[in-house]
Amino acid sequence: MGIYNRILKKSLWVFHVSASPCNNCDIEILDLLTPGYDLERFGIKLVGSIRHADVLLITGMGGCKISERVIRLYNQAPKPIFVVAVGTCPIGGATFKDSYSRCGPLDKLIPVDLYIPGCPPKPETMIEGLLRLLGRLD
Amino acid sequence: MIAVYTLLFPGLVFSLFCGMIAWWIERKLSALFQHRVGPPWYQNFVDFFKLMGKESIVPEDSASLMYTIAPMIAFASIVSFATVLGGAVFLKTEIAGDLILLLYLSSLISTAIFLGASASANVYAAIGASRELKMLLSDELVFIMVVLVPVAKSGFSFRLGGLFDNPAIASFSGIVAYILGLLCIQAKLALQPFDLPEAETEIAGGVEIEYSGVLLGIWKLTKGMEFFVYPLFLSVLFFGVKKGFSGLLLNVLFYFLTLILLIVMKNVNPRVTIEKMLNFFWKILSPLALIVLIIALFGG
Repeated sequence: MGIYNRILKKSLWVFHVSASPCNNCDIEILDLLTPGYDLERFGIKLVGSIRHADVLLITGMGGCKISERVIRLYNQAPKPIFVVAVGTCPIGGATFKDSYSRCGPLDKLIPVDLYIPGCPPKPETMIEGLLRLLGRLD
Repeated sequence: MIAVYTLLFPGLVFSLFCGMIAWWIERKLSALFQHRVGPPWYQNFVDFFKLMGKESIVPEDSASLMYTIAPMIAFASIVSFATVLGGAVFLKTEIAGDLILLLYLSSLISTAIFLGASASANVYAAIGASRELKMLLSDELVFIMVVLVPVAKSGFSFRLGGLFDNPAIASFSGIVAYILGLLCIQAKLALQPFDLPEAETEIAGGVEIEYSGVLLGIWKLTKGMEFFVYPLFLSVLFFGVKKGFSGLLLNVLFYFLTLILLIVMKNVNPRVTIEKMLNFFWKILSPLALIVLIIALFGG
């Protein structure tokens, strides 16, 4: 798998899932695509369909309604697929910790490969996290 | 010999390599337009090899035979397009009526895209498929009339070899027809403002939405080769093919001129809606193309 992973590292296509976030992390993720940060130089691209994705980028605390969809999306994705949780919400729930509609944390639903904590994490942190995921593939 | 032509030199390997590089030029220039850095030159090859190793999913509700065959039809059509065109340009091999063959092959690619998208049983893919068909109906008429202008200039020869000797761009009708041809190629490549079937932000990839793994890789190969063969087709049709080494350099220059015009047009325009696109092609470009063709017939 050595050669394949080395190729996969250079071309990660990201599918963004909002599992009931407060939208703060999503705005920071959109920042990643702006000219200031430009993820395309690493070959990372945001795609519109789960069938094209290599990385599932999940934000939010995981409400009960969306958590079924998150599991369904994970099963629909072509393997190998990596799951990256952005923000504090998928880990601990942050301000939604005691919410009646919370079915998280995320790793109760699907296996998570990488956490990028922060409320919201800065774009630089997210780039570093994604590159660390690339480093883990070796 | 035919196998070598198809698989190696003007056909598969050569035009695939050039196409991937042309696609990279498109991505890199678009990035530079937006003050970004852009991907490295091998990005498209890496994307393709990655897709080869992914799981290929055939949706349960889809018409699975058509779903798997459609990308192969499109790929086979584009490879034969590249072989016939490259044979005429680089090797001077001739087939009777190869211009008509090329027109049919180019519409076969759109038909395969339509079939594959409708077989995948997805709502967004269905919207994309219907748009693809409407785009085929709207740009084909203009494109055929545009292609007829160099034919009329060269004394009604439907062989590509006969068109190369006296370039059509040297006349008034040639210049207008070249500009109309650029718009048609823009629609055939599905670049902005005519990227309606693939509209990433609107219908999430449209025609390709359900494809994954190897089959998506074949679609990407088809798209990459289109970036090479369509602009090459338009540039040799209007600028002709020059002889000798300096002539070859001149041809490469004409090809890049066509490609860069397409990329600039892509980056300065937003996406139009489908009825605006139909109106534009049927009500404005088609009469204009007809007038240009009549002017060309009278030698203007």
